[in-house]
Amino acid sequence: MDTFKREVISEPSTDKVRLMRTRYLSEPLYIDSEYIKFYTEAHSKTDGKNVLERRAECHAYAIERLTPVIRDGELFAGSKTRYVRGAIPYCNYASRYILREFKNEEAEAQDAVTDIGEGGGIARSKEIAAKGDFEFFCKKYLISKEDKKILKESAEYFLGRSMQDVGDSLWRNVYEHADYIEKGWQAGLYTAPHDPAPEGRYVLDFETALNQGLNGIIERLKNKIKNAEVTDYKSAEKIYFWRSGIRVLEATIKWAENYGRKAAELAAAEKNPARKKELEEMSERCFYVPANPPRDFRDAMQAYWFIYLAGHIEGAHLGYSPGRFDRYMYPFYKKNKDAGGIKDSEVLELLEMLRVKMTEIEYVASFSWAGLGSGNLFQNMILGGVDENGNRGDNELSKLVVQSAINCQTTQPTLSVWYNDSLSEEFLLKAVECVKTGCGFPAWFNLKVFIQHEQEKSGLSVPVIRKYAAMGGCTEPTMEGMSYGVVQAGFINHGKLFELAMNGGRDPRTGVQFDETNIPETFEELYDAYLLHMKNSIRNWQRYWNYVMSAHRQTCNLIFSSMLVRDCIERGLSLDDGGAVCNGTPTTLSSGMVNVVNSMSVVKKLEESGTPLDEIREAINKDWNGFDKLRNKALNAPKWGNNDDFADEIYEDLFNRYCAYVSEQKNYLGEPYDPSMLAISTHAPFGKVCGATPDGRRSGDTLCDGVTSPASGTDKNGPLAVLLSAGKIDHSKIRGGLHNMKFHPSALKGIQGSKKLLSLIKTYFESPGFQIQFNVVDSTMLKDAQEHPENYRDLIVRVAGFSAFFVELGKSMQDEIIRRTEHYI
Amino acid sequence: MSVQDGPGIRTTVFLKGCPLKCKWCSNPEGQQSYPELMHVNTLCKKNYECVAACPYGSSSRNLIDEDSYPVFNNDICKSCETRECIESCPEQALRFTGRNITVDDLLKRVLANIRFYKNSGGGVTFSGGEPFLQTEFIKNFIEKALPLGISFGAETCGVFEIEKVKEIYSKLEFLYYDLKCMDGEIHKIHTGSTNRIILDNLKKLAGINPDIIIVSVPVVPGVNAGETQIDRIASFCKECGIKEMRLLPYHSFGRDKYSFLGREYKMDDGVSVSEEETERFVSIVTGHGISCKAE
Repeated sequence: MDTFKREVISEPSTDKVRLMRTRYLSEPLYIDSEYIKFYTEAHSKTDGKNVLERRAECHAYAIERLTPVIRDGELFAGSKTRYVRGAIPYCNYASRYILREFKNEEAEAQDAVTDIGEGGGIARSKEIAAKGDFEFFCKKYLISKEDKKILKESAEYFLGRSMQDVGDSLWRNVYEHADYIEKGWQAGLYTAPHDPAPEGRYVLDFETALNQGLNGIIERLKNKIKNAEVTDYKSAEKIYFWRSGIRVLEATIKWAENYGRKAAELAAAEKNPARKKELEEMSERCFYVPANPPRDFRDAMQAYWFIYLAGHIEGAHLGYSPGRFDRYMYPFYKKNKDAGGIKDSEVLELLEMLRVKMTEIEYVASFSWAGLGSGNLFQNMILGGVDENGNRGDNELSKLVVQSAINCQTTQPTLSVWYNDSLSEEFLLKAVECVKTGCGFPAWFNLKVFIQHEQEKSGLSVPVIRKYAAMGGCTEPTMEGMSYGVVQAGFINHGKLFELAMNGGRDPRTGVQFDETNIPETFEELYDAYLLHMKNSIRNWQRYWNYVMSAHRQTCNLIFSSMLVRDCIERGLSLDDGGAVCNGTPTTLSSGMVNVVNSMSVVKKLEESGTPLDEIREAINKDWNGFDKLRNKALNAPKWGNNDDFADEIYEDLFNRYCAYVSEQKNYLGEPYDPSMLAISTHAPFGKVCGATPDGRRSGDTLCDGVTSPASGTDKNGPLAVLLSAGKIDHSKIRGGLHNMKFHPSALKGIQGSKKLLSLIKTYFESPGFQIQFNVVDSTMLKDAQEHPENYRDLIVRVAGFSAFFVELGKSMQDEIIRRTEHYI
Repeated sequence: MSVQDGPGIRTTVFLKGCPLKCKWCSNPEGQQSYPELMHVNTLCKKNYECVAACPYGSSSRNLIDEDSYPVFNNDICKSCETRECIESCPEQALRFTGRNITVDDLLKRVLANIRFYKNSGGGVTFSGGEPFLQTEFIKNFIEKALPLGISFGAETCGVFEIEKVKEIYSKLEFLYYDLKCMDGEIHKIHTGSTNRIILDNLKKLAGINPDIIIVSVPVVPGVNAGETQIDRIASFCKECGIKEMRLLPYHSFGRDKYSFLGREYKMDDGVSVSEEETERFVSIVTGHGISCKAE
């Protein structure tokens, strides 16, 4: 029986893709200072220029000078850096962490016993570093000696000039809650400031960029200037804005042409006639797009990639995304294919290459952020949905995109499905097939819920939302080509807020005192204290970020992206001036809320049976040592995720209050902040700084993952009860949500298994839930479950007519399952 | 959620108590008709809090098995209502399998899932143990749940009073009917009783409506894992008008539960059915014109 065999096998569809993927996998990570070198050069020459034009000039000057790199196998050109896996250190955003790193590296270089790490890319980096031309940076990147010198100079140049420094000099001096923010970082209430990479979470207007070509947009800008009349400073500023747009778009065309020349050069030297022809065609295309609208699908791929990448080079992005790729690329595919100009197998090859190209992009940020994001760029390609009339949104290209992800397994871009009832069964089954590879995507999003949310927030019409609803980042919906993209500062640790509430506003780990509250004696007092700390921490965090954003406008306003987000050009306003149609920014509810809910539920339940809060406080202060019986009672009290109203009502209430608090504050562009849910990898570091909690969790243990997912081992009534709980909150209140579910491959076996998964999603979305994603667990997770059974109490393994909780199987049987699973991977 | 208990997303209700005691049974906790204490060795950290907590002397520090896990006296535990041991264990390694539930309580739990059933074509499956030992409960449950749009299936070992089951049978969407062996003597050795009533009941139910029956055959070495045995089962099914069968090759995944329950697992080590054999048995069944697959 092949119970443990992976149902779906993945393999790149051509040798070229295999070559590119293998090359990616064997390359170490590099820092490339080329862009920042030119950027700094231009910056030092433009002092006194209008702030928009200066920003445009710096970026334009740099991008038109970048070395074009075309690698073997590639059928479309464009690389963010000179390396396969290269990161640009954006000193213009933040430079202090870079100088700090250099200092650390030097100190550590003297320390002979420092161990950098083992295995894989790092071992390869060591090997290269040993040769002497490269050094380490931030523990995982290589940097050449020459680049290091340049980077150091740039970083020093931007001291006092970077977004972070300009922002710091403002808020640290004038913001009334500045010390609260500092304390928040110290206590682990907030994530580290993410000034090194604040951009992203939006999608460019690829539809217009492709259909008009950059030349078409430049024409529009010229007309704008021609027809403008200066009457006040605002109308004058518009001219600067349009002029800066022309500068940047022309530089982008020049950058593409540099690739055209490079391809021609390579073609001339190429011996292999087939490759020579490919390079000649590539060269011709690079001279034609993105300046002009694509003539066929291959043109469209090249144009798309240039436009996408140019935006990626301009800003320090996380979550910058391709959006509704299967919609805006479809007309080029359809026309080309119907005319017999391209076959599906050829399209598939290009799509697989795109996956490798998007995965090649790296970013460098301060340590803590790199850890939180797990090095991920969160580029989200969302498929399906509906057209503006509400009709079926998936097409042949959607299926090919999914197939490309099945064949060519890479981490980027992550795929999502805009779920709705119009989607074809064929497409849905293909998407489930991809889930079954165990890669964790596509994630599923409920379009109906977002339409309701967006309608209430922005007042856009339903057809517009249907057409442009996309995903910017891991789980945050955005309107494609019409939204502003910088979000709020970072994450708030709800586990820490709970500790503050328990202890009168004092952090038990560091002794740092936040707002003083009474030490609660009852559930009610605890609850009220929690609400107060939650409210204040959100408000202070949001206001802090507005100070930083004012620095963003002065230093890092995005000009290229402003040209490709509606209605910046029409309004003559950049993104940071509110030119976009949608200017809301989300504030994220992160992991930890479920621990708080469960803890509240325990306190309330135990209070009913006569256990005073003091006793619980004592128990958690001692990390439950000597309180086994009480802990057992705590573990048996009602928990979120069991369709038990006792706990679920607490979640609902806290969630509603969270949403209300978030919306009370306005963002830098004057719009109310938008509540959202997102966790990335915050649950581990946040858990580390939190002591034991009444839900039975021990000190330092990770908080629960996801935002509505139950804490490990607390959902004892099966997957349906979990979804019934999660469906109780009003998901339309939030922009983005996250719900993780684990399955063993055997639970989803065959077409029957696929269909069951689809009915599960459909039913959850009727409740209506907003987001769900699936982990089809493999042997690695099973091994972890063996070592930490307490975290996998809920993991069901289904084997040949018999299902069991994995942790309840004997060691020998567990080994058997793990062995067989591995055998077939 | 499973792919093996019938169509769609289902809730399986395991009714405790079984007239058969099959050696290979992978759900031994379903055999007794009372709640049983289960001690999950894999979670146990051997701190013996449970032993100390029991006021009835069901276990003692001297009473441990060869791996030094605590051992309990089932006769004491089965009538225990206070269950001090459960609360005492910091690892939550102890639990009682099975509990009393009323028709209304079950209905409430099932109704919460109704949209999942509707969207997937699923419903409720009665399994066990032997569900048809509790026909009154099932009848009452169906009576209340059917008008609410819930559909039903069941799994049976075939030992039941036919007159009590007929009415329930008419309300089922499918019935998995276990048939282990055509030879009455061998059947008795391995399951504790002969197969007479099982064969009779199958014939009678098939006489009413053969279309909803899927005959399930656990393929067990030493019991029926031979071409002649499988062929005899298939012939009998054909005679009854059965159209669908499934073969479930023996596995030992239930083994650990026996030790958790303080019982002995009587199947020999290393017994297995190969993929090739299974394929051959499947083709024997399909040779009789009965659709069949191995799971």
